[in-house]
Amino acid sequence: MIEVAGLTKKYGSKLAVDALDFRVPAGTITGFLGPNGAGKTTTLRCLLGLVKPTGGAATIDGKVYSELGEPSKRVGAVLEASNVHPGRSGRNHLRVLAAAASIPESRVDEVIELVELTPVARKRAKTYSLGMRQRLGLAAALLGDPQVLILDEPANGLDPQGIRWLRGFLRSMSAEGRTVLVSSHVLSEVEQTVDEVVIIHRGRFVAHATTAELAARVAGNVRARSPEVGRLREVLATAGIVVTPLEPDGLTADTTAERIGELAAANGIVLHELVAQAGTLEEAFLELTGGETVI
Amino acid sequence: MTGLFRSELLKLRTTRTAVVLALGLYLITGIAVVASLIVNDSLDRSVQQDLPGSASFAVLFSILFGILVMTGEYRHGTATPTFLATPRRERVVIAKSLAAVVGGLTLALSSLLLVYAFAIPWLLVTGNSILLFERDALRDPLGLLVASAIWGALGVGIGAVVRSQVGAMIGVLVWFLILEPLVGHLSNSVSPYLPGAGLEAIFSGSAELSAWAGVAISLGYAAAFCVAGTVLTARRDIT
Repeated sequence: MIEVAGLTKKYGSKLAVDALDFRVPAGTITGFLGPNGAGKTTTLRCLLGLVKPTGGAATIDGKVYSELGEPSKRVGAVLEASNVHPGRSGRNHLRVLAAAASIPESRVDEVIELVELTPVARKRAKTYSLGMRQRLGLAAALLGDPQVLILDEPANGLDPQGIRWLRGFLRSMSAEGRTVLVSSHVLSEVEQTVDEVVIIHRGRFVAHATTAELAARVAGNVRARSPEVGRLREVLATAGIVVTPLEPDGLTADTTAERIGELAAANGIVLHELVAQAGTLEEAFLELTGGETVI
Repeated sequence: MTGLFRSELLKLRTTRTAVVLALGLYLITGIAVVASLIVNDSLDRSVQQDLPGSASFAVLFSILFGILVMTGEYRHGTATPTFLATPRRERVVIAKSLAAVVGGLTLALSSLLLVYAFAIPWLLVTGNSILLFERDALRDPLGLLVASAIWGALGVGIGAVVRSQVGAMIGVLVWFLILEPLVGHLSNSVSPYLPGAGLEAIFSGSAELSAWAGVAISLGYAAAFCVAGTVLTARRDIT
């Protein structure tokens, strides 16, 4: 489990992360969202022991990163795609990291295969595309076969094909029971992949919800049509649901489709149409973060 | 720790940096030794004793090597994966210092071998007896090995403090070419204990300092920078 508790980080007088609290339960895949400059990278770097918090703590399985023992075997992280010496081959980059973490060299070729980088593994990293570097970063994160993966903007700079590959990859990681925390400033990059989202803005916590909850939160709006619309309106109003009439024979209600369906059935009201107007996650995200995002 | 040391040596073997540095050193050393073989009319005992001095650029290259070993991590962003694999950052600085000691020794030893590889056939062909391995003639080579090893570690320490590759290199050159002579000029009592003077003492010994004192002073500077660099590396944010 990843736990961020009262995490605060100041750079000089600038507050990058402000008393942030959230938890990522084991075995889930969670999106860590916020506009550029929201404090995502700083939070993740605190979690990984690279940046010292000014206050509070960020822990993994109850321990700060530096006290995890053999961290590469418990936590894998991808922070920036460019973190490789341009003159070193991808394979040698991984060999270097494997040696430092006491991981057998045979594992290097395994992870190269896993991220489908075998054809270029022995070429120097400066010849790699951004997508290849991202995958090299993923391979490095997987060297120790960790249960926890932390990825900072892994979709940055990937083409649509690369993003699709990444989605499949993250799903397979999650299917294997790993805990994944993946940051992004673009909700649509991760909304099809994640179970939950944690949203931050200006270093502060904004929301933590499942993707479904998040969508319901902004939209929460169902359209219904009925030949007995007058009676339906009464029934819903009696149940305490806010209803807006929709000419000629419809209404929109601030509830779920299930609730309207159940109430209509209980009162023998015929429905001709029942549509949950799903507000997109993007709308929810924009609303929560004040529209400051790149889409 | 052995894994970490292996990792550092592997880093050195998997880029061209070390090779390019070594080739530069061999070029300078080769020119220097051939020049002194040609220029000197008689290759007597004292000239032969000075021949290993052709390899003395190994010390400068060792400190540059140490600086590259440490600052390369920041320059290429590899500090992030390195410190993720080893969050006890002081261990990384220690492993790098050891790797730079090995690197400095390798640079010094190989350039000395280059000197002998030119000098010995030349001496044989010109009918001189070989006096290169007499006790007095081995003093400088030994000093070179010791100095290069220490200065390699010093480079790592300086790199860890400064972090900027260009900044550290320019800083080192400015210190030895401009600042140390200047400080020495201003204060005679301090000048024998400055790093450059300590290095010199390893080879020549001076009125104030024996060769051993020179070694001690050099070790002191290397230790001071490595400790400061280790403390700073452990405390700073890696962003």
